[in-house]
Amino acid sequence: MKGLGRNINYWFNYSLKAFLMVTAMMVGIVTVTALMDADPISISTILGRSAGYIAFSTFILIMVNAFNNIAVVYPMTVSLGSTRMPSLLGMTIGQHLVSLIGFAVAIIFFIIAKPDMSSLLITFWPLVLALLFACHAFGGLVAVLSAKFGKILGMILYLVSIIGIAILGVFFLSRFILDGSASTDIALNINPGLMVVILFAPLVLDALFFLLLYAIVRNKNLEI
Amino acid sequence: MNESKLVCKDLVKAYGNKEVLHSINLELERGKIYGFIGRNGAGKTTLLSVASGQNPATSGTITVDGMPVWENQEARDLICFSRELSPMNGNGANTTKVKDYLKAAATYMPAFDKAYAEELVQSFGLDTKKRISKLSKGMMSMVTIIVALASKAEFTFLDEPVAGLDIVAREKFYKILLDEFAATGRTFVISTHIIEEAADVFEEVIIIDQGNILLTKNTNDLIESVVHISGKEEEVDSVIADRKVYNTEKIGRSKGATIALKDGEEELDTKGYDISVQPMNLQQIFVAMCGREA
Repeated sequence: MKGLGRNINYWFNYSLKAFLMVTAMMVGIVTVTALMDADPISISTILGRSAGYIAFSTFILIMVNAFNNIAVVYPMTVSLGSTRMPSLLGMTIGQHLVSLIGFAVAIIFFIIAKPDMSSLLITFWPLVLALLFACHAFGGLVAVLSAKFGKILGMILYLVSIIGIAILGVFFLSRFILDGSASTDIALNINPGLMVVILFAPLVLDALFFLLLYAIVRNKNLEI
Repeated sequence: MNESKLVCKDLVKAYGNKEVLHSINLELERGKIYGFIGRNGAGKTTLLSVASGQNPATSGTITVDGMPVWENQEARDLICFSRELSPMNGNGANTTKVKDYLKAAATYMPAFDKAYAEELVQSFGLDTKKRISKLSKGMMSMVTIIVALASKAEFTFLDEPVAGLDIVAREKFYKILLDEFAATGRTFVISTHIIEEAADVFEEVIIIDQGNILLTKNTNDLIESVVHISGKEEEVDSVIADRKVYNTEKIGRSKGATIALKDGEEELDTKGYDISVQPMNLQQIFVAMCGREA
């Protein structure tokens, strides 16, 4: 597809820049707060604390980009000469790659900080990937609604998602991460059919919302 | 020089039930500077955005070198429509930095000349670290000019490029434009409201009114072929009877009219009439054609 390469190049760099800024900010905040702690500071403490923040900020970036990209950056790329499908594909690929990097960085930090938990992550890696696609699927929904009904709805959904994910995060942290054996047991006892659905449903939804987004914007008059 | 052309055929654009461009037929040849003039809301920006493939046509076709423009990257790479920037965008203030905007342009425009863009930035004294929302109107115009010129696109459209520019910057723009045109022979289409100042730059002029192309003509030929006459009403009526009349106005017992000379007619024959004949400049012709007050 002519023009896809330049779009992946642009969107990847654009998303990566935002991610690096947020990550630097998160690590900076964690370092400063760790310095203020009475406990002795260590690199593994900083990395361990940063891991959760980076995973969370990666999710936030997916959501923010969902309505920001479609309302602001995508029209700009079209005005600068891109055709529509390559721009949307570039946007999607760029965001997925950067969020993959984000999750990977968070996981690496987590493993360095808590090496004993690495087996847990190895067991759960398909779920982590499914979670990533679920985030993108939700971002896709936000983008579709923003493109169809305006950015306000997208922003409201974004806020709802942040609150929702924070509540779920607290629940998840308290029930599973802090008690690794329990979560492993649950994972091992899930019906295999249900596991396949859990793993692939986000991927399918992510692809579906992409196609829906393209259907909405392919002939839409862009206000640039 | 090759014979590439951008052709709009039976182009219609409607927003919902409102048709804003009515069956436009237009041919842009390579190696010309077109002045694109029309009143506010006449359809200039809409036509440029559709002709450049940024927005879809409702019906009709647009081709460049015989290739359809819509969703065809190869064709779109030949066209640059540098739009007027806005301090606001879909999410509030446009916080994109000028350098990031230029970088994006360099990524998306295959022939973008970064060194030339840098030269233009220096020439206009533009601070590329500034965010677009913090730029003055004139500075935003400079950015659109830089993108348009540095794009090196075969067909380059500029929408109100001199809006907000002071006279020194405008003169600089016209000079840079002519230098670039002389060096490359690219086609430029420039929409502007500052008509008389730019008239010398336009080789051809396209006048659009209420979504219709009124004319496309060589600028000098147009100026030489339109005159304003005034005199007693019955005498003026007699002279304009079999001519194309663009506009008439009554001043007391006198009457004025803007008329086109006939093909091959070098000057108006007014023997036997007490009629004054005045040449017109481009701006006056435009007002006569599109000003509906009279």
